Amino acid sequence: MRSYLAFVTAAAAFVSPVAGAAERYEAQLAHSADTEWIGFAEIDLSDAAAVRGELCLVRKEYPDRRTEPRTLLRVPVTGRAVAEGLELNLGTVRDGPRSDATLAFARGTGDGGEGALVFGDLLALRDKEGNPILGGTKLAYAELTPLVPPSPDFEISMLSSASDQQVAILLEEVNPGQGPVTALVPLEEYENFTREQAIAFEQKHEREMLYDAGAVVALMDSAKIPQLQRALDALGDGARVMNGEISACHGGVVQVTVSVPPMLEFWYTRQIQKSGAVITAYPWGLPLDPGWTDPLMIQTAAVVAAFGNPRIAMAQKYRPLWETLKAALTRFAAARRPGFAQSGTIVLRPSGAPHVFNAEIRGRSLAVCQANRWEQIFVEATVNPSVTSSSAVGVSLQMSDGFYARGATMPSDARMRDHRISDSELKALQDLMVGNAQKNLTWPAAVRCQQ
Amino acid sequence: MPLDTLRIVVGLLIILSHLTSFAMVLLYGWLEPAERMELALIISPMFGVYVSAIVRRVTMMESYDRTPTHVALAGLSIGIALIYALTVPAVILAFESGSIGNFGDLKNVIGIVETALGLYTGALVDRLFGTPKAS
Repeated sequence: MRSYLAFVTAAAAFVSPVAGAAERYEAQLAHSADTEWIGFAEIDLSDAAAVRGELCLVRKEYPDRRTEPRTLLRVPVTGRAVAEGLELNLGTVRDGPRSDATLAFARGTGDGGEGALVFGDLLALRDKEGNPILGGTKLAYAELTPLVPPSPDFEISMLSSASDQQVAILLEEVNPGQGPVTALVPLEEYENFTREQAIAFEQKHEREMLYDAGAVVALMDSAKIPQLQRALDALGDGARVMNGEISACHGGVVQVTVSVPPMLEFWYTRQIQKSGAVITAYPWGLPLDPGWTDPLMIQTAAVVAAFGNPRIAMAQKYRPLWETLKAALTRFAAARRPGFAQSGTIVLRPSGAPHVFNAEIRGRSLAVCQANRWEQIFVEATVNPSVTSSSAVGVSLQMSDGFYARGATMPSDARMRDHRISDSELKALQDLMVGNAQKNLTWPAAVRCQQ
Repeated sequence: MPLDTLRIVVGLLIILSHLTSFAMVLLYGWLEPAERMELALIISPMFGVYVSAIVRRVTMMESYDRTPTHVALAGLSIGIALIYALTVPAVILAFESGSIGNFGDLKNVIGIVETALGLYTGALVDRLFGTPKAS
């Protein structure tokens, strides 16, 4: 995830609009998570009071696997430049994004990083699993990211550590019981792997994050798309440039998706980088989280009764369940780390919905047993209806994020944020918790930290 | 104050500060290995220049130079060296105690300290420990 964010930040390094010139942006607009458009924008800022330009968009699809050209939408925009950013009115185009009101784009921290022009809130569009949670037909999110070619250094660092030219930062060796170990292979050796060697290497190593399977994203001069396709044809696996039609919008630099064989995303990325046709190429990263646990069965009478009683209002129905779960987390923390209660806290956080449990565990480390390590772990839980019955309520939970720091006393939140607990460590912890839960929601000595 | 006495006082302050800072970086358990390395690399260049100049000069001493120094030079030298010698370990200590919130802030503060005090300390080290001019 960090690598992905680093890329996004590098790729979108903000260049302040210069009056008197048409600025070019990557554009991303959405009504909801399943209605999105991507493309480019060209906006003439020479007259701050009368800004005009055009969005050139295609409908985004998941996964992006189309082979036939998609319909290009050309959306005229007018507006004005203001101190905070841009105010734009979108022209109406059939099947395109719609907005009846003026959109106020503020410089913000969207996916494009500091300085991108953002309208709306992307997070409001998706839940943790990327599912749409907001429908509607009006534009809910738009982002214009100044189009700046990324640093040439970066194309190497995606695949290798910047210092020693080795494939390292994105791969971890599967090493059961001993935690992840970073795998190293010299970049020169990696890029000369055969496909078969590359697949075998992929199979042996676990990535730190998920990638869109079978896709590589490339930033390139649109005039070189045929050259890239020829290079792909020469490799002979049927890899194709998928969305080159966007290049018809504007000449110059475009972002294209290349369909490649799964398990060869990194290998193809390197071959595409070496083709000479692209500015850079990278696998398309997706955030990885530990996933949900198997259900934890809660048989506490008050909890079961609350669900069985139709007179108990929704707002009250979940309260006994979350109180029980919080108490269970407290017992698990104490079983894992005797003395946790002396300095640790478990706080329920407002989730905005009564049926969603959010908690923050803060105290002596639970994920990794070290004497002077402190952790902050965020837990989410929700009722699992498929296993809930008249005798027990099933709860699925995930430790969605976590941070740690070392110290003699509890470090500050800011210090904790310096280090993220890996998803594999969080997954191991949540599996330890759910896998060892006894019927009365207590935990045996087997879960205790051995230091 | 005799010149060599001043040199010894200033030199000891800077060397002790150097060693203390590195001991804190290397021995304290609240830094991750990568942070430890990064912090050592931030601190070492400036300190390294000063300490190497001091060591070079001290190893060249043949007789005790009792040339009297101006009280202003002595006062300023000890003052600057003391401030520099105390500030870097104090910043690291402030990080350990939580007064400096995160590692990014720590690097920024160290950078500011080295920039702000480095010029004075550098001039002082050059004056006291620079290569002697051929007479």
